[in-house]
Amino acid sequence: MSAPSKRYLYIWLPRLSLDRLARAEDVRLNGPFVTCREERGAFRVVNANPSAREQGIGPGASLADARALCPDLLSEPVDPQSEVALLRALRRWCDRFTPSVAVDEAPLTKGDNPDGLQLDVSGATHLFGGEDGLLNELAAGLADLQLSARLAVADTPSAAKAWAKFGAKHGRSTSIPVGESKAYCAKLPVEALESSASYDLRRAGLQTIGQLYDIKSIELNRRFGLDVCTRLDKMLGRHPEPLRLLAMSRPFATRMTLPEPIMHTESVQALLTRLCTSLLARLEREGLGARGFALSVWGPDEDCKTLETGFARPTHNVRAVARQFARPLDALQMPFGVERLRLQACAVAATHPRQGVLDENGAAQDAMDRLITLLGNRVGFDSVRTPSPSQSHLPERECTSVGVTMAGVDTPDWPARRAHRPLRLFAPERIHTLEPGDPPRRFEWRRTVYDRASVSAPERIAPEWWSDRPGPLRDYWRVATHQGQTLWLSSRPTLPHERDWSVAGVFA
Amino acid sequence: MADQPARGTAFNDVSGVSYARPSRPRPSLQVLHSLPAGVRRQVRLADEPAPSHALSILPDAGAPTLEWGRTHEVMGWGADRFALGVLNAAHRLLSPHPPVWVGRSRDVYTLRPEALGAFIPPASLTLVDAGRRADILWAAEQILRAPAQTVCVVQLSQGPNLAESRRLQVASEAGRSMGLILIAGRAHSSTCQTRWECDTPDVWRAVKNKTGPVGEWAIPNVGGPEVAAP
Repeated sequence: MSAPSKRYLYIWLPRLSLDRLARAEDVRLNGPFVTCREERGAFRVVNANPSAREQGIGPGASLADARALCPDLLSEPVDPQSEVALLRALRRWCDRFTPSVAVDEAPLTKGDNPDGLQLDVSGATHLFGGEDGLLNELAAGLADLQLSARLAVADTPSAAKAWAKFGAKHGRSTSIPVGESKAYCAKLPVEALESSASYDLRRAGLQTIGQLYDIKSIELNRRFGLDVCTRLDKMLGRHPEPLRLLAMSRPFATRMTLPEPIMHTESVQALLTRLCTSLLARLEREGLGARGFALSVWGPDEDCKTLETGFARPTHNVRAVARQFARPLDALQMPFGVERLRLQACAVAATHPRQGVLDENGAAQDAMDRLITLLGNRVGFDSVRTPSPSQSHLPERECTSVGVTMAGVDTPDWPARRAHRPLRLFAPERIHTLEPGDPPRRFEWRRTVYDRASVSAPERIAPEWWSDRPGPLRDYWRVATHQGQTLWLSSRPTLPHERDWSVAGVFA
Repeated sequence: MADQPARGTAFNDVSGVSYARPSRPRPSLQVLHSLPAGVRRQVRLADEPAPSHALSILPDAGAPTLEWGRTHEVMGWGADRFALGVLNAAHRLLSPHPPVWVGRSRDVYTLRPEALGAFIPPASLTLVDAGRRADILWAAEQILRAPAQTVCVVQLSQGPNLAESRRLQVASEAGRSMGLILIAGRAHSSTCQTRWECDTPDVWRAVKNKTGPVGEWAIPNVGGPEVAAP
């Protein structure tokens, strides 16, 4: 028994730029309207709405010609970012049909915007009553979303794409039976291969893909380059064609839109609690928590303000989140009230619940985490730090500090304890030599005069020669003084009478 | 104890300490601290546990100890060493007392974990870089008030005044934590329990002590190689 064949579905959205504006209920679309893009030195039409098409304006025409045909034509340049965002949202929407959904990125190589989705529907079609049922359901769903689409199912992604773009006429969706790709694709024009040699193929008199079947691949390669054969093999399933399936990003966010703007802070807080409850319940169900929360608030004048809070540990505690937002919400100035709210969880991570009552260390850790949350939200989480080792031999970089919330994540091992290193390390501060010596017998530093008592042998520390700015080579002396303090003096390695003495640190 | 008076009367226990048992809810700590110092020392509320446990940082018997729930001030260039000695003593207790160091960035980030490792595991230390003096004092108050029972080292350029140090004192009593205020410049009259001067080599001098002796003591030799790095 042979393995069940793979089946791929392609969704082509030929009028994506126009549909995006139609979804936003743009009133300009009532009259003749086109979207355009700068291409080959002129603005060219990408999509035209029906009333523009009635006047003979089609994709590819230059905008100047279109304006000559129809003087009251309105136009707008395409917005690639918004279209890609719409496509990504659609990718998430398609998750209901199959988990393997990819944005077709082939147009990007030609400088176009992506306008298609590839779905791996192998083994998923029976859930929708076969391939036809799946296609019908998809087409109905896309129509509800006001998107015009052409769909095709085939054995390979390329064949599905070719049929969606060139085979499926008049918006009808097609399903190519298993193993019939070769026969079906034979009727398609050579442009369906999307190779760079389409023009050369036409010039050679080759009109359809079927005409290529009889030509030896070595001859095709010699005449038109390797690209044609590779694409043909991909279309017929002789060459693997993996989909680029990115992990589905799941934004943990909830939003709420109100019929009327509200003014009172208490009402906003009550709404925030409801948002928190739904979002955090979702996080809790999956055993997750978030270390940061961002609340975006819109007024009726589209004035958007974003408030942020952080936590020392991933949390899904509704009361804690609402409490942290209470103070910034109090300070929020929204003169026209609040119409729309969106709460997003950032830095989502797994929570490790603890039994607090029995575990004294755990209770202390909980108290410490609450304290860090409190401190971090006022002085900033970057300012609450803990020492951490780092991979360097330089005294000033041997250990560093990381934010408490990042502690324990991917840290190297602690270096062996070095009792010969000072307790405090400064950027070298020059001293004023009163009585010379090597090191000076008497010197002034920070308005205090020090007398040298004893000196340890110098230590030479080389810079990191492999880095871009390695810094100087330096010698260090440990100098005990009669005043009691033990200082770490440093100098560049020169002749003794030329040394530039400075204090690099103080010992405990 | 069935024979104890039920309503607000004073009584003596066998050791001769006077207790006042309040009939009403106990007054807040602010009210208590508003009493004159002499009266405050005499009157202990019966429901308040005596601040019996104290941290002994000096090996001599009869030497001053540092009480929990109090703030202590340290001055002089040896203040860092004193603070590390206290953190080391707190680290060796059974109950967890997380150490926190608060100050300006130049005070906090110049501390080297390699040398800290002789006294405490450096990874257990939390550094708080609060920019202005008001932020440092706010952070110190929150840390002392937190139920984590921290040992909070606060680095200030000038000592806290009476109001500031009373706030810190009330906070540390509420959290049963210990506040160590390292003063680089001048100290002012404050509500601290003890004040130390560490200007002389190998000597710590207690110049103020509300409950015990004052005098000079030799620095104990802590920070040997027995404390492992993290």
